[in-house]
Order: sequence, then structure tokens, then C-alpha cells
Amino acid sequence: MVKYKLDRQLKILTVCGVGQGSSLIMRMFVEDVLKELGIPAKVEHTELLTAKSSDADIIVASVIHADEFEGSDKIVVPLKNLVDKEEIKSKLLEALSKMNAIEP
Amino acid sequence: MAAFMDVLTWIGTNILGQPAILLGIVAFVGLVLQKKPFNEVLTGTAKVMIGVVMMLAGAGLFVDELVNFQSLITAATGVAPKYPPNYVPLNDLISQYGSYAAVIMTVAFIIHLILVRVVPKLRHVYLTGHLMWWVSLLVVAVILTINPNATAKEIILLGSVTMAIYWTIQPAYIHHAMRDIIGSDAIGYAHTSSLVALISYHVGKRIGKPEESTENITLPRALSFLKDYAVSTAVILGIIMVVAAIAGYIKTPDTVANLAGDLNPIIWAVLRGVYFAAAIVVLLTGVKMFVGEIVPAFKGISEKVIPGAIPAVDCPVVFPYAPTAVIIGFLSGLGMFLVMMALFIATGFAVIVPPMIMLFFPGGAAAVFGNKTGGWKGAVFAGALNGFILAIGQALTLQFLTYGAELATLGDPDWYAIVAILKAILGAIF
Repeated sequence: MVKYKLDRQLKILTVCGVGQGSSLIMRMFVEDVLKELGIPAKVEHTELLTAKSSDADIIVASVIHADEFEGSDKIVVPLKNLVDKEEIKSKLLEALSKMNAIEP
Repeated sequence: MAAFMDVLTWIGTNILGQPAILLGIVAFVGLVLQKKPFNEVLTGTAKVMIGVVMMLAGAGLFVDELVNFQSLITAATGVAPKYPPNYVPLNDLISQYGSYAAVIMTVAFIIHLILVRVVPKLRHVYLTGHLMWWVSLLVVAVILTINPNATAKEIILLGSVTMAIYWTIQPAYIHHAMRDIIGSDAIGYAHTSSLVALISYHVGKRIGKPEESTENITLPRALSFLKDYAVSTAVILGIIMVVAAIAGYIKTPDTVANLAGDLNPIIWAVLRGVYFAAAIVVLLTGVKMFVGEIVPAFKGISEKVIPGAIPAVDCPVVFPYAPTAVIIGFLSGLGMFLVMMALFIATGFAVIVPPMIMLFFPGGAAAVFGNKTGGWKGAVFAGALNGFILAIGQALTLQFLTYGAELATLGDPDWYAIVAILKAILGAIF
């Protein structure tokens, strides 16, 4: 459990090429991890095409798509193994402390 | 008895005959079972129903663009598409029989879970939801093509058993290769590209060396636009359409002018590429909206019923292990497909459409498998094999499927194998 500081739900977007399969799989694993951490969040999955214009706090994507978000102000979590809960957890925690959403 | 038949007819017309209603009910039940709060149940159910309607709209747009594509190729080359006579277009198939696919998807998933629970060697739970939907629809189309008078019971029973067997054995037969790539047994590979991926993995050993890996190559950054399927569809199909419009205009100006209507033929051709991509985006967004609500329910059920089972997931899960191979596999597949297309046109065999998504995802994934054992040669082979199978499979399946022939142009390599095997088996039954 970590201490969550924002006064609203966190918004996370998982992204893959077509927004059909692997983004949905990532969404389910990210949801599991967030539940475990006790962080209130709304997770959605989508394709690259629309991800850049979304208002999500954090974007979770495969490492091969991470450079697509270069130059945007979004916090990107690049995953090497899309369904490894340990990797998801450590990278998400890093992102959350970067955006000052959790107690260090 | 008459009253009972009335009830069945009512259910058939109003629920089973309306995919939006049926899938809405499935999502509603799934969300309630997951004990979601009321607002999420409502949102999820509505999203599923909107998704189904969007999918129908997208399928209609897609069918229109396919007709435009093929008319223009005919004007330019004289080769006419070979659809089966009196065929039922994809959008009609979905609106009339889409609910059958939904029922098959659900029943087959339950049978699949039972198989995984009972057979100790089979441990994978298939979770690639959008393919579960498409292949279920494909199986309905094959059954109806072979026997247009098949009853609802026959379609659902045959379809469910076929799908359950496929979802159970596919991740299992490719698991040794999958383990080699990701280095653990934590996840499986659930995708209808499995045959090309598996063949590439084993052929790779014979034609190349793992040391000659694609990951030592740096590709130009300009190629990264290819990762966006909508962009690559619009660009590649747009170029083909423009070339065909010019060639067609030289050959039969009146035909092309007719197709273009009030527009300049080149502008019309450019727009066709864009419309093609947009149709696919709408179609897939619709599928995404309902699959996104149903699959988490499936995952929840399987975790409760079969603790310790291995989740088998969509093909991009292997992409990070060899990102360069993915692009190389796509390019060699596209090259092979275009060569086959030219060859088909020259011999008058068939008109086929470059399916950018199917060249990218199955070709890219197979290239990761080919690269693992055979380096860049394995990756190039994997893509080329994918392009070859897609071209032949698309041409033959397009001529065979009386119901939803357009499904042939949306298919992955395993689809064509499933169609061929089912055709042989059902031909013997009916």
C-alpha cells in the first residue's frame, strides 16, 4: 500500500498498435496492480491513433511504442514484458512519484 | 405448445437476432457477476451496444470500399473479382448471424475452460478476445456456406466445439517456441498467426543463425510510420488506387469516370485509401468496445475456476523481444504480397487486397520467432511466408465463402487453415 495524494481518480491509458488485444491485456494487469497498491484509478485501453490526444495522466505502452510519445507532456511507462506485474508495479510507482501523486 | 413456440420465436427475433441486444445482455451479466458498481454496469453495457452498432457501420463502409477497390482494379487490368454467386455481404452476415458468433464465443470459452481444467498437459487460457469474436464469426460463415439450411443448434454446437479445440491446442503447440523467446512459462501465445510463427521458428534453424540477429540492424526512423496500421493502410492502398486509376483511365476512361462520379479520378482514388483506413478504424473500434467489457469477465472467471493456468495473450506481446524483426517481417510480407498480387492479376487468377494489419501483426510476430532461431534470414522468411499464405488464402477463401466473403480479406494465416479443415470435415457431415 502506498499513500495516494491526488484528490481525484488517476487516469491511465494502455496503448497498443490496434487497440484491440495487447492493450486490453495490459489494462487488466495494470488494474490488478493498482488494486493491490490501493490506488483509485480509471484504466482504459486504446490504439496509438487516439492515445496522443487523450487527457490521461499516464500512458502505459510497449517499449516499441514509447518513442511515439516523444515531445508530448504525458508520462509514459514503457513495458518490456506487457504482462509482468513486477515490472508494471515498479515502473508505475516510479511514474507516480515523478508526477508527485504518492508519498515518497 | 404454440405459446412456447411463440416465446422461442420472440427470443429468436428480438434477442438472438439482434447482436447489440444479446452482447449487451452478456456484458450486463458479466459486469454484475464481477460485482461492479451500478454506474459501471450501465456504462459498460451501453458501450458494448454502441460498439456493436459501430462495428456494423464499419463493416458496411469496409464492404463499400472493397467493391470500389475491386471495380477499379477490374477497370485497370480486366481481371474481375471472383465472389461466389449470390453471396451475403459481411455487414448482412453480422446483422443476421452476429449473435450466433457471440453465443459460440461464450459457449466455446466454457468448454475451453473445462478442457484446460481436465487435461493436465493443456494449461493455457485463451484471452485474445477480438480474435475469439472474429474466428467465431468465420466459423459461422463456413458452416452456412457448406449448409445454408443448418439449424441454430447445429451452428452453435459445431462452432463451439471447433473453437474450444482450437483455443485449447493452439497456445499449447507453440509454447516451446514462446518459452524460448520470452524466457519463461509465465504467458502463452494466443493468436491466429500461430502456424506461420511456428513454421518460421523451425525453418529459421535451417536457414540462418541466431547470432545474425535483426536487432544488430538499425532501421531508418522514417519507417516507424508503418507501426500505425491506419496510416499504412491509407498510404499503401491510396498509392495502389492512384496507380490503378491512371492505368484504368488510359484503358477504359468511361468506366473510371463513372466510378469517380463528379470527382477527378485521382482525387477519388486518394480518397479511397483514406476511406479504407477509416472503415477499418470504425470496424475495429466497434469490436474493441464490446470485447473490452467481455474479456475481463472471462479472465475473472478463468482465474476463479483454474488457478495456476497460463494466460495466453495477443501477438504484440513478443514484439519488444525483437522490434526490428517486426518491421523487417512486415516489409518482406508486404513485398511478397504485392508480387503475388501482380502475379494473380497477370494470370487472371484473382483480385486480392493488401491487408495491412494482417501483414504487420502476424508477419511481425512470426519474424520475432524466425529471428530467434535464424537471425535476419529467419525474419525475412517469416514475413515472406506470411505474405504468401495471406495472398493464396485470401484468393481461395474469397471465392469460397458464400456468407461474408469479405472476411477473407480480414483474415490471419490460421483462418485459412481453419476454413480448409472445417470444409473437409463438414463436407463429410452434411
